[in-house]
Amino acid sequence: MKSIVVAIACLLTVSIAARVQAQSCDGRTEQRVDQENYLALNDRVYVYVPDINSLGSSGGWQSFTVRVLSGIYRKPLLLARAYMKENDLQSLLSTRRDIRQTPITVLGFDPRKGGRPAINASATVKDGERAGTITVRVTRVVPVSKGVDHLFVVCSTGK
Amino acid sequence: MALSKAGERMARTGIFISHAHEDRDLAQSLAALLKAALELEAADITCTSDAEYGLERGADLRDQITTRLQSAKALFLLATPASHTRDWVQYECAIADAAHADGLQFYIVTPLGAHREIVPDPYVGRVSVTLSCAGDLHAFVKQLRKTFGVGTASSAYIDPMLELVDRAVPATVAHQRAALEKQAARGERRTKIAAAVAIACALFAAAGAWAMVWATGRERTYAAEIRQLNADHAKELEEKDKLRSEQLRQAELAADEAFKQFSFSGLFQDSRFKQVPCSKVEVFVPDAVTGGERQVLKPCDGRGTFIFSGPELQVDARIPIRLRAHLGRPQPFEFLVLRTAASLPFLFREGQ
Repeated sequence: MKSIVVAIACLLTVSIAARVQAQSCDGRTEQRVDQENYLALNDRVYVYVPDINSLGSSGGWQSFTVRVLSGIYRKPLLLARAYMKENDLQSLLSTRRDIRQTPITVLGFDPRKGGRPAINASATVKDGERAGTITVRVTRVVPVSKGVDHLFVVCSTGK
Repeated sequence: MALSKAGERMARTGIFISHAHEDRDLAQSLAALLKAALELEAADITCTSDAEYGLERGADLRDQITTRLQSAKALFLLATPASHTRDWVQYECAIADAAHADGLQFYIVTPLGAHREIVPDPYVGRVSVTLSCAGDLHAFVKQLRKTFGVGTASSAYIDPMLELVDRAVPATVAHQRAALEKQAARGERRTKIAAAVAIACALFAAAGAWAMVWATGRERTYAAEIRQLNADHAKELEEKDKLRSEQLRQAELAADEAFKQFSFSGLFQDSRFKQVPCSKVEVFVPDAVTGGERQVLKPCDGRGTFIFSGPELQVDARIPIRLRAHLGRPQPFEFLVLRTAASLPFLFREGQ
């Protein structure tokens, strides 16, 4: 009886994990990533957001580069989400040649000059050793004058 | 025409001088003037403060006044500051005013020019005669003489008239002095009040200014303290973030190092679980320095097993390595091994 319960629990865990995994890269769900933080999109692909230089209270920002980290055979980083300085990340990745970095350049935006922010930058990386690909798209940048600047990404799977 | 006690109409002949007791000297002079000017007998004149023209002793005062006014042809109100509030004066004037239609003349004489301040309220609108002004008084006397039908050309009233003027002038001067003193006192009081108010305002303004300066200073101090606290807090958070980031990096490196310490050993068996002897095993691992592959060669021992220590391989166990086994065949057996997921021993069929 005990073994059956354990087995059912294991099955539920696997099921929930699979659902979360599916939701996170469903091509629709926006995921928030704070500046100087990384986030696991799945067990092979991470996204890292550097320090965003926001333009005071005007609601704009200077251009910056989001990095998509993809590991072959393993997770690029230990935790699923954590704070990390960009220089620490670069220092760490310099010792990990199996982790690939793919840049996404987000153009700057100054509302005082008018117009609308042209974001929608994206990058497609291999899903580790697996056959598919993962496309990461930056959808929104949210500069916060007295808070943590952040952005939103959407990831989707491909073949 | 007044009525007698029997109800008959009586001819008005006398005069009545209504005054305050304090003004008896002036009233007596007025009585003397009127007696001379109107050629009256002493009995025709009622002046309550003068024994000669006074009331009968022992008789009822109110009855006598009423009787005298009923027979009087004119009432002279000697309006002064003293008479202004006297009840008897008010009473006499009220009777005279009521009897005006019945032929009683009502004259207001005053030693002062300040009419409004000394004439009782109901009679303020009446024309008064200023006793201190000789010309005014003389014209009034002549008018009276005509009214009273005095036809003789007598100048006997001149002396009493001048005497009355002489008495009225000091009263005027005294009144004016009192008025001036009162005005000065009022002015002084106003000045004092104004000074007190000014001092109070100045003190209040000084207190307000001081409070504002104090409050502003406090506010600035608080603002500076808050700015400093915010800056300290931000700096502290930044330091903590840096520390956290560095600790995480160190943890990642430690994990890398831990995964590099994984030893790797194995043996080869055929499909019947019989051990297959091997001569040597080559492992090709990613080289962090060159970016290529590094070969690590290890001979198998006499029982056909091989073992690589972590320091020999110097590669993360999560990274697959390429393994080439020499098993006594022309071609070595080569395959990828992910050590964290490997299942040893490796099974292979003969001929693979």
